[in-house]
Amino acid sequence: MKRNKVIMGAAISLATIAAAIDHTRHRLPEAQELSEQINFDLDNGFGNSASPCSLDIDPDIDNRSPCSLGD
Amino acid sequence: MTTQRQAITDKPVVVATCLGILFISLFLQHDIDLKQSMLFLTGIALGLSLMYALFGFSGAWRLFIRERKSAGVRAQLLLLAFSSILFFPVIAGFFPSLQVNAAMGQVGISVIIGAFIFGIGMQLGGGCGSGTLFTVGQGQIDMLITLAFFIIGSTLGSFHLGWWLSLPNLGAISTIETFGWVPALVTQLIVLFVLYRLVRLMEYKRQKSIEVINKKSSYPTFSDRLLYGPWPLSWGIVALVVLSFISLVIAGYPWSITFAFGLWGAKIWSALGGDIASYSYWSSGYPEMALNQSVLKDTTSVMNFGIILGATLSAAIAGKYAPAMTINRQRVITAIVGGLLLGYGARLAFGCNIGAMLGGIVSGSLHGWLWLVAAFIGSMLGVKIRLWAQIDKPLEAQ
Repeated sequence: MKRNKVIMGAAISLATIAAAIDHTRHRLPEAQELSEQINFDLDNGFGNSASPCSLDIDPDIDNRSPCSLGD
Repeated sequence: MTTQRQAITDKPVVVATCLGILFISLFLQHDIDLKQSMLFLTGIALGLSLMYALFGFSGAWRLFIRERKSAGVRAQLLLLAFSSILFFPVIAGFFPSLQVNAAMGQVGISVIIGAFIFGIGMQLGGGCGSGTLFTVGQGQIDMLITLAFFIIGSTLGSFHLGWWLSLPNLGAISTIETFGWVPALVTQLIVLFVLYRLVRLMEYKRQKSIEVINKKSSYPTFSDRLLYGPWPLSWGIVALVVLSFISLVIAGYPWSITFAFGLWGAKIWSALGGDIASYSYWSSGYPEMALNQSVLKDTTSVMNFGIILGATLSAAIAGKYAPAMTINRQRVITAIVGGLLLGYGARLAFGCNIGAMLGGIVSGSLHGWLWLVAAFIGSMLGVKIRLWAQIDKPLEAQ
């Protein structure tokens, strides 16, 4: 059981490091942009997103669908 | 009783997990946005619920196929029914203030083949999309192998998806758009009710009794059961219906899991020097966007992290974290093959039991129903393979 905990701990640590590397490889948001994000509007912000696993039929979000193949 | 329960709690893991959850949720809110933080916490709650209720799909299907015990399958049908009641009007735009998108997929060969493969993989790998995540969170180390190859399979599937999607298909078919949300919902509920009665009848014919979904517990108090589990399946149904609806409202589309696996694989492949840009799937739309931004901005990734940590927390509270197990060569092989089939199949079929089946059916997309049928047939073959490989013993030998 202890050995399993060590394995799980190692796996979680590795995943955390990988996520941290990936996150820091990308551009950090500018201060103003960050402020806008923190002030996320619940009423307006929770929609208009494409499903990561769907074929979007809404023309406005065609270019954001992961499962469509674009042009 | 409560003191006895507290004694089995794995306190170091509970403390470490709580601190991790607190740090990640605050980091997401600060560095990404409030939405990602809320989705992460929704994932935590999903992980807790899945783990406490042991709400699995693979085991429930296997139990029904082998022994006709249908409690798990009936719980899934109830989950689909109650979720449909909540999702249909919202997806149809009945509440204009809630702008959400359906999980649509084309009805065609790719879904049939993908879900069939996924169904086999469920039985060999030992879990479905959600099951793999919460058992990894529980600390089952064999499921780490399944998850690793789930990721590899999903990445491979994304490389070939363009060809699979070019195979004959009827396109995306929405029952909500075709019939209107009320007739579509009523029809769907009737179909689910008929299926519920059918599996119940099949169980009665074989077992001469019906297993109840709301099993009684030996725990004296409600709070003990809530905190330490196991929960009855009925609690799991309520939790999953509510949390998947919250996920819909916050994210703007139904809960999904396996897109993140392909994304993680593509990012790793890209980091190792692989040429991701040459694959059409990763060079347009949402995948391209997700690939070119932080993994913490991807909804499915953040929710998956939450599910794993939520399951870890509940397992540690209940004293069931990292259970002792021996992994033989056969288990390693089935985890590898199962993981590859799960990943490849999920990519072809627009997702797993959550993204394609639950998300598709409660969105009124016909591909969800096609997924259910094809994956169940695949699971029937998977159960036979388990018998052939002597992973399971024949019923008469038990």
